[in-house]
Amino acid sequence: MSEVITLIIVIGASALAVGLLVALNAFMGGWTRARLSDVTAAGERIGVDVLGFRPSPMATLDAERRTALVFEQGGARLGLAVCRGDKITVRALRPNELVSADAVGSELGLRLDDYTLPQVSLRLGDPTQAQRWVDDIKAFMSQADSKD
Amino acid sequence: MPNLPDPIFVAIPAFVILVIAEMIYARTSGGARYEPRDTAASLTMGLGNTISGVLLGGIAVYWFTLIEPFGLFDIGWAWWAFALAFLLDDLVYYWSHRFAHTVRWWWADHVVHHSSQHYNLSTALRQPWLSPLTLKFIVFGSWLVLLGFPPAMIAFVAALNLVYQFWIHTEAIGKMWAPIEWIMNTPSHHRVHHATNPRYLDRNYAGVFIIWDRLFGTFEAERKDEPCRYGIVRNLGTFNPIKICLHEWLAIIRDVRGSKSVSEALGYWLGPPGWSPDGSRDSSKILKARWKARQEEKSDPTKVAAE
Ligand SMILES: [Zn+2]
Ligand SMILES: [Zn+2]
Repeated sequence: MSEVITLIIVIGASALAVGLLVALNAFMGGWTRARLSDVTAAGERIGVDVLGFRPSPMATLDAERRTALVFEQGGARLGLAVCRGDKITVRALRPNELVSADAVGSELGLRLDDYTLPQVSLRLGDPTQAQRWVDDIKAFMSQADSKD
Repeated sequence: MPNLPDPIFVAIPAFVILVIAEMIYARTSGGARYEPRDTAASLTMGLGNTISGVLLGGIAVYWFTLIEPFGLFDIGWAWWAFALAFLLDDLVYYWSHRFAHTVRWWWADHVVHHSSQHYNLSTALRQPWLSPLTLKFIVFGSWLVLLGFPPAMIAFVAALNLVYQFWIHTEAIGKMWAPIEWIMNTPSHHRVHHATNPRYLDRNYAGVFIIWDRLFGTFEAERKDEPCRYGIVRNLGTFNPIKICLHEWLAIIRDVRGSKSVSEALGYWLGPPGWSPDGSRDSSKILKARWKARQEEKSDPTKVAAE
């Protein structure tokens, strides 16, 4: 019984230590939130992480410069760059990896068939732009249906 | 049997102090990088690994107790036995680690350790939660017990091996004195192991001694002209520890369920990570080949025109 209590104390102390280390990290700062300077940089970044991805000019960046969408030349894949903390996470999506695309005002929302990145949203310049991207992405997604 | 301490347990205070020191170094010099959500994820995975070790470690202990009587020799507790066990355990670690990168069933577990896009001392503690369930300890852990090394001695040297590997998870230390770089696993060598640059993929599996990589042809030196990009080929879009723990297991289940034949299912389960029947996904082999072809194109553009 005393072993169990010791174990609970050790685990509790470790959890507290984890919390304190994270708090110290947050308090000290020292990292900068990642930003994408423009759509060209976003396309290049996707090309670095996804070898062979060739960005096309059909691309957009959200107002925060934290998320970008870049169609590949030829339209086979939709490149996605998402800033997470001080790092950038990238996807080159095939049509069947997208679940839905919607626009609410100027906010473009995508749902992905991706367990660790199930949704992304981009605040674009205006509702028309967001709706145009929804239409383009839906047309892209329909390629998956036509292959079935 | 001597009363051996648990080296990991003893080292925990040093781990905490060194993480704080590296955080301060990161803040003051910029020579390392920490981001709180990533740090939280890594440390939570480390804590969960310790808890799961308590809950699931009994499976491995039971197995080793079962096979201990079949040991070939009665090696005992001499000092040289410790030294030999440490060396042989490191060799076993090399192969176990190599298979953890080339068999998806084991990769599903080990991927957790590689899933941070950061490389700092907290990354060392980002460890999986379900390791005993992969039964890797049977395939790789049994050899030394069957040779006749006492299981407690093996557990002790294996823990020392893991403690050694903590300090090499840093960008704060560049290349070290050449003889050390030649023999030992160092921060430089292990940075390469955590990098996703195609040149660096599936390289430097060593635990303590890098000589195994040199011997078995998997060594790659870190290059100044190719800075490491850390993480996995398809980086995670989450800091959620449960998702970090489960993502590759769920992907395997999904692929196996969608398989059209038994051989396809086996490929998804036991094939290399990124394997697919039609080669449409990116395994390390495919990525390396694509990268090599691009390098050749760059150095000899006529090759592309000719093809
Ligand atoms: Zn590894
Ligand atoms: Zn590591």
